[in-house]
Amino acid sequence: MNMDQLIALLQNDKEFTSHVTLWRHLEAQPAHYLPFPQSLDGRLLSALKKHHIQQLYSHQARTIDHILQGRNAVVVTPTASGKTLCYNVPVLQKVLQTREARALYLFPTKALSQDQVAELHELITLLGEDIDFDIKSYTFDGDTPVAARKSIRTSGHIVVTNPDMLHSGILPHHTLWVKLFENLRFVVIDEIHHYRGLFGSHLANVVRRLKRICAFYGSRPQFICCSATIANPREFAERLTGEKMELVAENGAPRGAKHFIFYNPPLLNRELGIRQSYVKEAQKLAGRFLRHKVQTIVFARSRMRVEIILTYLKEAMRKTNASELQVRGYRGGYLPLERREIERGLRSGEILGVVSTNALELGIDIGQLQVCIMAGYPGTIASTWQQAGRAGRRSDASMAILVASSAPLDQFIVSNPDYLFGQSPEAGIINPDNLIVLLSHIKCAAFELPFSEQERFGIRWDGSEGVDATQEILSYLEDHRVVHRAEGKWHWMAEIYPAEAVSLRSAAEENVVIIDRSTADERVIGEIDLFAAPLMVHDEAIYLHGSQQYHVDKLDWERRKAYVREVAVDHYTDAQLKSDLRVIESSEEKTLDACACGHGEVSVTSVATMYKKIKFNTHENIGWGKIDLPELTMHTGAFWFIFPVDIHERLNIPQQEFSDGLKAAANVLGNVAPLFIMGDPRDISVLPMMRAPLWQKPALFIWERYPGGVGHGAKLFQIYADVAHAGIQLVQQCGCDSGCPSCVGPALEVGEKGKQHAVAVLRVMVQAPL
Amino acid sequence: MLSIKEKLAQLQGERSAPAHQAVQPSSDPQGMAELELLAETTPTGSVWRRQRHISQALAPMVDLAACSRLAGMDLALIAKSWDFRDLAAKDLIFIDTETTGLAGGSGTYAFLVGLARLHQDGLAIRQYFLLNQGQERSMLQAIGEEMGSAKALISFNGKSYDVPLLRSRFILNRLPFAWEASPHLDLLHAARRIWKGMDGYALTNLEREVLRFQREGDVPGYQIPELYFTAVRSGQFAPLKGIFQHNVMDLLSLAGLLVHAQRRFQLREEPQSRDITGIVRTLIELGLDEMAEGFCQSHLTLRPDAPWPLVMRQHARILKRQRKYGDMVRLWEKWIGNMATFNLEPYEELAKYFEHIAHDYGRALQIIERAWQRLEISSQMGSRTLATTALYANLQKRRLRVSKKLKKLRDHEGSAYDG
Ligand SMILES: [Zn+2]
Repeated sequence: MNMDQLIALLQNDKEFTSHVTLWRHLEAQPAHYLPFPQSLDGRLLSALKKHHIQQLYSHQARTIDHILQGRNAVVVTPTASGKTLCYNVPVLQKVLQTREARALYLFPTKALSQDQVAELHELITLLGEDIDFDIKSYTFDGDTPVAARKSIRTSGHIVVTNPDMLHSGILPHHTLWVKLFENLRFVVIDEIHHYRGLFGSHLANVVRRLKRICAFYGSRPQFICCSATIANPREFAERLTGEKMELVAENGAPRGAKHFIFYNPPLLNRELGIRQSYVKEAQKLAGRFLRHKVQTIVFARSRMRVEIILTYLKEAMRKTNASELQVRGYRGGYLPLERREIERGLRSGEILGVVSTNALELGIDIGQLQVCIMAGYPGTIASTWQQAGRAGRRSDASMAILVASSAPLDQFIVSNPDYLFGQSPEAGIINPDNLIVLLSHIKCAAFELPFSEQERFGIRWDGSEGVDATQEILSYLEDHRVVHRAEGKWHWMAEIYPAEAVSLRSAAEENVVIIDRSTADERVIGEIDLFAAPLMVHDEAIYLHGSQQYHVDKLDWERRKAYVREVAVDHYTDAQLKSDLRVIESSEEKTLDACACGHGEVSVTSVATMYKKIKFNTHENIGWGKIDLPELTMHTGAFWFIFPVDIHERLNIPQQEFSDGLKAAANVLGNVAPLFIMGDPRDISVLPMMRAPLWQKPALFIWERYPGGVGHGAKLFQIYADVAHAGIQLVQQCGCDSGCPSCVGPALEVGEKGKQHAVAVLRVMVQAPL
Repeated sequence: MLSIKEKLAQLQGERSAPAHQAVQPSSDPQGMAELELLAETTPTGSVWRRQRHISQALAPMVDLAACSRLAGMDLALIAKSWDFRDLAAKDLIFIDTETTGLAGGSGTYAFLVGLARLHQDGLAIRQYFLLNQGQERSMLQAIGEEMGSAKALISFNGKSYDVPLLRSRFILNRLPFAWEASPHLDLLHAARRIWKGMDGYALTNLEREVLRFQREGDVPGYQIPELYFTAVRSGQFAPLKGIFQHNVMDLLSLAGLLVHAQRRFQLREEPQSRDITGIVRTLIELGLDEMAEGFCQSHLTLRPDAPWPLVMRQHARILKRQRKYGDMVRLWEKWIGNMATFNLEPYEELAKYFEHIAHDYGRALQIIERAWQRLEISSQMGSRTLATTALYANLQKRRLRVSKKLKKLRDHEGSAYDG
């Protein structure tokens, strides 16, 4: 079935169209070319031509030009726009000019790095016919055999690795990599939008360490970054690299026409905001397309969902007497060879369908498909576009269908298409100066090279900036017997290898592990962060995982383990948390007539006190218990908004109802804020307070759930009005009567008028000054 | 407003921050005197050095005189490398470092580097000490100069530990490092060859089993980094005395191991390890077949208690390689003649030789029959075990194959005769 037939089929399906909230036709766009730069090496030019590259897309030409002129650049690249040329060309050009030149490529995942190396190899092979030496590119990661490492260190022109390996395997052993560091000309950081939040805050510091080592060996590499579309690519890349960047944002690659459809599954329970399962809806759609021989890729949000959908589709294929091999799964960890096989199968038509986690959304080339179905909003707008780009990569018309779940963010996106199709609101946010992160990396840096007593960590190539707190942190490390000052320098003086203790991706040691004891063999079913654990997995709690209920037999707080077993009960538990928050230091404040807002450092204390057992449907309170767990304190970043003390009078709401409204508004903000900070809902927490300490006024605090914060508070200070505005949209568009989990939370929690009052509160934030 | 330190303490959940420690001036004249350390001022800074001359009287457990007489050939055998052939004992420099940890990476320092040279009347040891890390460059320069005057390195595990570590330190101080390509005799590697079959090759093991002595009051290795850190932080260096002594002992043991290794090649050593395959292989790999054969022969003569199979196997392998088949057959027969309990190996080797090399199937069959008989005699004495069953099966298989070959040959000869 071709695209026109498919469109007709769907348009004539009344059941389908009744749940479509948007059907947008995106016009095809022609390619925009620019000539090859004049200075391009003739051998490279002919290799590119042999590679069937006759011209450069405008963004490629502009990026290459910036780099050849000695500038750093960040290029914003949609899927399949040929981004690897943006860095491969200048890197190969330099190696052709200077045989000793070296480049370092960083990719967020191993799978991606293997693919990019394969592509680089093809170009090098074509080049090889015209040059008298070998250009060597190698992947260096945890899988690299020890025997191969030595020659990679000394002779690899292009070393491809990931941030974790650079952090713990390369930088602490830089003396083994003298050749690389003495001659390093380029650092390529691909897919930078992955490095947001904590991971990015760590990577920015790994880059600081890298630059410090380069400076020691006398090199000063240029940075080339690639990013998916985000709100602030230049600012973000500059914070990540600590260098001034040129931005190349306009995409010159051609784009085929695309039909983008938002599908919102039918509402089953208005009160609870429960909809028909989006996984089922997505698999039904996919099954239908496959029956009509339409090549389709389905993205699901977890490995488990991939399995469920895959099983369904294989079964569906069998029913139509087609081979179940026509549908393939794709998860992280597939080797390039297997991917090539899937790609070949798709080209030849042997394979019709692929079901994947987000592992495929990265720049891995699996060929062209007609339809992409996203089972649930992928979590960020950048991911949504990358996944949608998997269908119709070059010039044919294609279709992308987003099947929404009942999660608030999904509901928000399908009701507000401008957030996806307009200027992206998602900002890449990092805080390289988070004290805990900084401390970790100054430690690692001191291990790598002694610090001088004048040195500031994290300087730009021009010697400017740098972290003011450097010397004080070193003195702190001296007090802790880690470094020692001698003759004007801080030297490492401890038996530890600091990089080993620092994970770039998480603060994993602080999570509580959930262990299922239903069966004989104990099985880990998940993790929960320390701050959420007292609420979710206290003794006797009913914990929901997937759609299964578990009873918590025992929370072993000391060992950070919760033991659970499967149950089927008619109630859930609701724990009461007593939270307190105190502002330690305000970084910025604004008075907005009667209101005020600010951001800075806060200390959050919370203790779970008791829980209630609540019956489904009737919401009867059928029992309660005490929770006996220690109080937790976290120092972190926060944004706050302070209301006037007489706000309820100004809004003409009884005080108790205002309190509910404030709570409802907090829930809404917690639901929509991830859209702006490109984060996970778990990254932040919103605390409503009727009498905020310091001010003795009603207030909303949005605090970060990582000690020290990663910059979300500061960002929210700039954009809180947009967030509140989006919150109003979410509430008003929700079909429920008086609140549901998809918007302000259930009425039981926020009161009958919570939904209404939440809008009033959020409006104050949007409209302040009052 | 909190200071950075106070914030860090809070973030790290510390109840109270440790008191700030004022930097101690690293001068402790009394401690230095006790350690016999002397400062030398070089153009790049101070270098602290301790010199000791160990005469034979001071180190009765090591034959230093013998060590200083080692010839190039001895060293080549021990090192399994011809790079040493033209060297003499005086060309060697012994090296052993004490470091701030085993983690590796650029944060690990060598704070005590012991170097030693052999003289006719003993071992001259120079220990370079890093009083504080700011003096590393001048210390390394002095070490570099001294190492530069020697032609080869002797170490224990230095190939994978001391030399890479020093290389890293030199690079960190932007000093050239030229000893990666130098001839280097790593006695850990050598010991594994020369005393094959020991329980372990820690230096203390070798001291006990080979050198036959045990250190008294030695500082255990794992305590060394912390002792150094404490000394530097407190400015009290006298407690490091034990580490200096430990380092001296390490160097002395290197000399001792050299002497014993040489004796082993000359069959002059008590057999701590009865496995001589490493030695024979070394000789073979160096192309010294005659010597290897002689070694095996003398070993059997000198050591009636030697493990026959091991020596025989090695010896026969040499003869086979040299195609001295007659000698090889005599050797296997000799084994059979001396055999107290049944061993299939010599029969098997003989049968293989006659079958595959000499193509004398008749004699091969004879050997197999002899083995069969001998096996029956020995298995009558004991019960028939699984192992003997396997031996019978093995022989039976071989017998059938050789018989078939013999028959085929006879048929062929017969038909040729008929024609
Ligand atoms: Zn709702």
